[in-house]
Amino acid sequence: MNAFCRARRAAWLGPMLALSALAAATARAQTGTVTGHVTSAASGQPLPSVTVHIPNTTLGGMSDANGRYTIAGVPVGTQVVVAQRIGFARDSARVTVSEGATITADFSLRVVATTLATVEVNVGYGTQERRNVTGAVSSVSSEQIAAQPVQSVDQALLGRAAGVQVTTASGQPGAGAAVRIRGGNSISAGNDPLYVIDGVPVTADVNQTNTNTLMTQGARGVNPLASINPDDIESIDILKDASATSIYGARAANGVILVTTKAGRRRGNSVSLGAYVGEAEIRHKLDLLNAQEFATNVNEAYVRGGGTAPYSAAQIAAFGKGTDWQDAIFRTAPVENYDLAFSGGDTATRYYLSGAFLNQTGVVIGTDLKRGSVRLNLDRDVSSRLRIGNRLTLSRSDGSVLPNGGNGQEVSSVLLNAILAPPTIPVYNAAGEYNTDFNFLTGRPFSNPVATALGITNTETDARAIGNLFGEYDIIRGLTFRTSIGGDYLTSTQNFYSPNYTLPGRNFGGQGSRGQLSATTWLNENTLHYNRAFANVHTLDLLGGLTFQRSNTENVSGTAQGFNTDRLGTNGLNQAQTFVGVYTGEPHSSLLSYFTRANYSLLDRYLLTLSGRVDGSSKFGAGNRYAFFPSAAFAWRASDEPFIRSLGWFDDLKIRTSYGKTGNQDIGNYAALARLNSTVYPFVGSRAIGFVPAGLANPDLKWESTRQYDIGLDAGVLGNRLAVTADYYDKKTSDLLLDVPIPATSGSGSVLKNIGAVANKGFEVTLNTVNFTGPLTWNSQLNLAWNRNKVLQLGSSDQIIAPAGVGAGANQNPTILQVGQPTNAFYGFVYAGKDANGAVTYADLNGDGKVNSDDRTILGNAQPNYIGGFNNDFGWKRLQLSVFLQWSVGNKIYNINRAILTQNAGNTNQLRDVLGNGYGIPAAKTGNTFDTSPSNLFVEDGSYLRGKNIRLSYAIPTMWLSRARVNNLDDLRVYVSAQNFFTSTKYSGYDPELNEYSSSNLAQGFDFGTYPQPRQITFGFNAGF
Amino acid sequence: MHTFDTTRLLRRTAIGAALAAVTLFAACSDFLDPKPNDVLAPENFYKSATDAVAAVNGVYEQTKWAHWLSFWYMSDIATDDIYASPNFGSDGHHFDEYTFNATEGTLAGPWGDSYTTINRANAVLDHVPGIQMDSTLKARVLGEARYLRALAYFNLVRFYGDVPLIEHEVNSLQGLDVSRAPKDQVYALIVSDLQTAAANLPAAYSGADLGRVTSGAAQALLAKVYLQQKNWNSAAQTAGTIISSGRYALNPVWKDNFSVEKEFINPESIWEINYDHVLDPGAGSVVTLFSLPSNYPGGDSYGLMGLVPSLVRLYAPGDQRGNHGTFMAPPYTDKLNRTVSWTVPNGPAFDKYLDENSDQNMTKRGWVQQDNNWIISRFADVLLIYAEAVNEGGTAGPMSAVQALDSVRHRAGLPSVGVSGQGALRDSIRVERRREFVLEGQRWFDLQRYGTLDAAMRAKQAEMGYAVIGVPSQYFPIPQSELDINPNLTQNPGW
Repeated sequence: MNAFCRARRAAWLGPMLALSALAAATARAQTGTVTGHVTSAASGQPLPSVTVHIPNTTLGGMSDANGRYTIAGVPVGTQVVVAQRIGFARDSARVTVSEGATITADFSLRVVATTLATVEVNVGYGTQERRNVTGAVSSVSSEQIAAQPVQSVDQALLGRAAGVQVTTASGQPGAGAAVRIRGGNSISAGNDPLYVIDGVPVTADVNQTNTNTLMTQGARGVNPLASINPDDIESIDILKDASATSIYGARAANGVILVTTKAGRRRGNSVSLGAYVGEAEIRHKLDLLNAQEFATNVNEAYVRGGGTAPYSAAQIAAFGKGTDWQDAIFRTAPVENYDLAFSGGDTATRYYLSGAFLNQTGVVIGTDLKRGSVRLNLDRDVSSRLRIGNRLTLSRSDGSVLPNGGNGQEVSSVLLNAILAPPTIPVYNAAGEYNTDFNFLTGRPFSNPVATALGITNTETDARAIGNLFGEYDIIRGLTFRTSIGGDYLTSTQNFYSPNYTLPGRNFGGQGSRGQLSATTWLNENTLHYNRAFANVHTLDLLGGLTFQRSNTENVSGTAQGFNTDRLGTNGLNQAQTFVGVYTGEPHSSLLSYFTRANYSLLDRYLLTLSGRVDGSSKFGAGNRYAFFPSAAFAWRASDEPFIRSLGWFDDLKIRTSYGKTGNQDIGNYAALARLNSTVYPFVGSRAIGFVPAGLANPDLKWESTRQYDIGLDAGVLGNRLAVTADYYDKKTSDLLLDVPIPATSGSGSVLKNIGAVANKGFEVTLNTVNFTGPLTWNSQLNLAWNRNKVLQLGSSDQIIAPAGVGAGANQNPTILQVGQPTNAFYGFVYAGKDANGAVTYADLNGDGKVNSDDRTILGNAQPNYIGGFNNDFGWKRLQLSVFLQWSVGNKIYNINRAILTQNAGNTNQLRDVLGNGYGIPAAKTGNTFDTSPSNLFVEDGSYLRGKNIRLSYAIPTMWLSRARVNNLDDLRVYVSAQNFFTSTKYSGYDPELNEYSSSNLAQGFDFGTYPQPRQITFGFNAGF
Repeated sequence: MHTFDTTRLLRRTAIGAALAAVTLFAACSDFLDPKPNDVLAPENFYKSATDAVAAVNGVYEQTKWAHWLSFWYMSDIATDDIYASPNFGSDGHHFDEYTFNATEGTLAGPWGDSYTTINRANAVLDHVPGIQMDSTLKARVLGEARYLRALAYFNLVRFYGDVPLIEHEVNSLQGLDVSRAPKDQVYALIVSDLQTAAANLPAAYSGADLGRVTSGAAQALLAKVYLQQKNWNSAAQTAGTIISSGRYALNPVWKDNFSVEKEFINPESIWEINYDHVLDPGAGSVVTLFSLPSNYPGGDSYGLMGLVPSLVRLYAPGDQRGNHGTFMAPPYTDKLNRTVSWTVPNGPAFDKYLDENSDQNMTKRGWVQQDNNWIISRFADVLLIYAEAVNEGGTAGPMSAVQALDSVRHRAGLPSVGVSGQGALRDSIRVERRREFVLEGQRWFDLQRYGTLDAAMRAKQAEMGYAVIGVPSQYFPIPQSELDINPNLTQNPGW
């Protein structure tokens, strides 16, 4: 056995060698060629860009500018040839191919009004025609991605696909987003969907890419989509229901996002060049006190608190307006982006080669992101039966991240410090240095936000390669073997340096830390795919596969403090007086999976899909490593039934239903194992290392599983001018991987268990309409999604109070998990007016005569009632206008900023609201601590309607171009666009689109010094040669 | 035909190779065996003397956290000695005013940290006996674990009364909902642990081991345990043994007890929790910057606490422990000739944990950056335990109660007490303890033992202008978060 196992290291070579052997062997197979001419039925003009292919094979081509296509290597015998293009009705022809002959099949396509984004859908380990898909799959096309200047693809998903909620963490350049497909299933394990980029699953887990530097201050984490240039993307397909996702089994419970990048075309060469420049700024500033108002307020607080007023009337008069700290840290931030792509090919080879560069500065000083990426996608038909190719992207990003660690004593949140900083303090002191003088109001040296933003080094540099090599071989007619070796290689370097004049460096004589990691995931996938039609009645599509995946990370970080000079920053850790520590680690995990899928279609009308995957994971207990995730789906294309067709109402009507089970394994690598942690204790003059139990292990740990039922329909009416997709789903997640608090008498605080259940039910609808088709064209896409999330069971207790660590104060933890309630409920006191002294009081909800923690109640929820997106594309001659609106209704935001900006304790700046001692604001008094009592005073309506993107573009007439002696330019389009161009919200903070604790399942909807989303205007062009 | 055959052969070979590769992978179950390379597992630990020492080192580390901020919020701020300044967060004010309840997050700290300490000590006591190693070292390691376990239980039983009694490492998820054991059972384990520790620990250490617990430390803690139990005879006898041993003596200069340079090597030191911000970065002491007035030069000073005025008035002029000792009164001129005045706290502020000979204390104060130790036992405590025990009826040993009390007074610069009678002497001993040990983790326990917690807090609440509500119980509440998850736990009456 051991010998076999040693041999497995080389085993992946097996399939590759097999393919090489086949390459030589199959050159002389019996094939013919199909060629033809595609025209428009309406105009008789040649139609370019029509996909012509032989179904159930990988054979196909695209019509050229003259409408001509050629498919070589078509096996002899009777074949069906299908031609399709967006905006035209699909057509097919039956041909008989004989060896070495060239058969002609011409097509004349009829115009139909349709706004369906894609015809082919990536369903995981293969593609399927959208009309035959039995599961719930949403797609976002390259056109939709290109319409909006975004830095990463998750931003492009926002509002574009029904049931996909994207909550961008902040306005920090490069910030990730929390993406939730049909609600969050899990509480302690991950809720992020699985991202598969050209067949390579990539990790979205920030924790797995943590280098353990000091950089806990607003760590950007590695957003897997940020390494992909949005211009390279052909399509994004989002698998939502169990039938669609169960092929990804154990990692699919949160949905799967499949990203397909562009491939070259068979004929010709083309070059595209694009660029844009723009500027971003924040929506509005908070209305804070100026220096005179501030000093007066402080005096009032001191006097009411029994002290003496610290500012004299003369001092106050001299202050004027003082420093506007918001002006000091916010700026108008430029952005520029360039991309260049070459693509094309001949009959046997296709290529796509691209490069892009992004340079974005943040609206807060000291923040930016630079990213460069290149991509090479190659496809080669080695013979009529063997195809090989690759997908590869290399990217590098450099970002400066805003230090943002809360307002505790030792962290330096630029944003919080800026809104709290006394306007009486100037940015620079008399010596022209950053003012960090003693601030008597806090009893500490002043933590200057400008010094922090510009003085602290807080950077992350990532280099990432994601790609694969693949080979496909047609073994017999209809049967294809595919093997691929993929990889995701990431190196990340994080640097943190806090000089002497900023916190925390001031406490240590400078403090610096550098961490690096290299994370490798390799993957081998082998599939057999069989596709065949029998008697033109039965079509069978079978897939079977086996994959191996292993992830390995090596990380190292070092921290030191006490520097003679700040000038070397993190490059001079060796000259420190104190070495705080060095950390090294090597976490790893592996996954072994078998999967299968069968699609059967009867009369092209009754469609059945069965799929299943067996996954084995190293993360679980020895007895629980394997699990089976099956699903089944049935669809009925009613519009093809004669009795419905005869009604003449529907151009298309398909009713779908599915049921299945998927899993979640997104937890730490070793949670099922008993382990020891190391400790340090100083005896006199010696550093003693200890090893102690690392908490309780749970050897019975197993998969969290989600069962999902889905029923939906796809319908097209009025000549497909109105297309509807609607789905109802009902999900139940059980055996939750839940971090359950256990009695502290055990020596641990919590343990990961399979306990509890969560339900998500919802309805989502997508409406695509063609409103005008005349000289003025108008198409709309509307999507709406309602999700209802409910905690069904939490193990032994009915509720967990404060399950997430939020905020800064000891009592500031206003969340609760309660059975019967959705996750992300806010929990605290109810405001009950002010007492005679102007102090805030809370309601005695249980009527026991005293107000204590028993009087807390649920104050609202961060989850929206529904979300939506509405896109409108208008065309008139050479002008195109697209207007994209996006909204979220019913979600609440817990505004910690407001809590600390209205506490009125006379030690930090406050909102101008405090001047009138308005609703819920206590009278100014030193020692006020009401901000640490969670209450409904800080729960605000976070609903918003936002103009997410507006873009006006103009296609320059080629006549002008030739007049200007610009030849070879096929297409030149210039545009102006604006993002977040309007926002309608009642939320009082900077911006309602926020998620301070983006990576926490339980602390959504918090504003706590969160970097606000800016609005942006850009100008750009796209050119095609 | 020949060509065709070759093709078919090659094809078959290729498919065969692919299937073989696939099967080979699938056959290897160890592909999914996690086998961590960067963490230790219990199965391959507890094998050597080095492992045994490392295991007990981890217990010290947790003992440090169990005496962290939350500990002295309870043992010193929730007393009549200290009040919270406006700079203090809400939890400090709640302890100061005695308005906290079972949900006060700070309360969960010492509870959890103590039990984590106990679990680590239990792991040592479960695993180390089976290790083949030098028997003297083994006895020492086991003695250290027993001392640290006893200290943790002693804090728990005093703070909370009846508490769950756990004597073995918890390594199963079953049976975690433990009930509270009667105080007497807890005390029985504490006493037996300390007796064993006193018998097996060395009297002193040298080199890299300086700072570990000694037989003297175990005896000093045992004396205090007896005192708290009002077992006056045993307390007097145990304290008397330490006094007779001659191993410890009072520092002529009281402030030397708080000198960073003299930690462990001054004659009064018995055991201290050691802080060293260089050897253990990120985990140094914070009591100095918490207690200094708000704008004391030389780094961070939070000014969170002030001394209750009636406490300040207890120090006679000339008492080493008064101005420039326990407290400083504004304006204050320090050794670096800096004259300091402040507004927070309003009036006298803490000086006790400012070592004016320490550069770190004077010019580089920052969060977790001080080396000032937290004292668990010093000789003055032993003398006053002895005095109290004898005065309350314990059999006198090497000296009289008055002699023991006077030795503490004389060192402070005060005359002999000059009172007689049990009641008068009792008052004198109590006031001396108070003057001697402000912010040393003693006062709340003393008030509990005297039975005057309620009266003392009422007096403070009246003096400070707070709502005069006294205290609801002689114990702290069991943390609500623990009651919520363990149905077998009950709350202390009054909470």
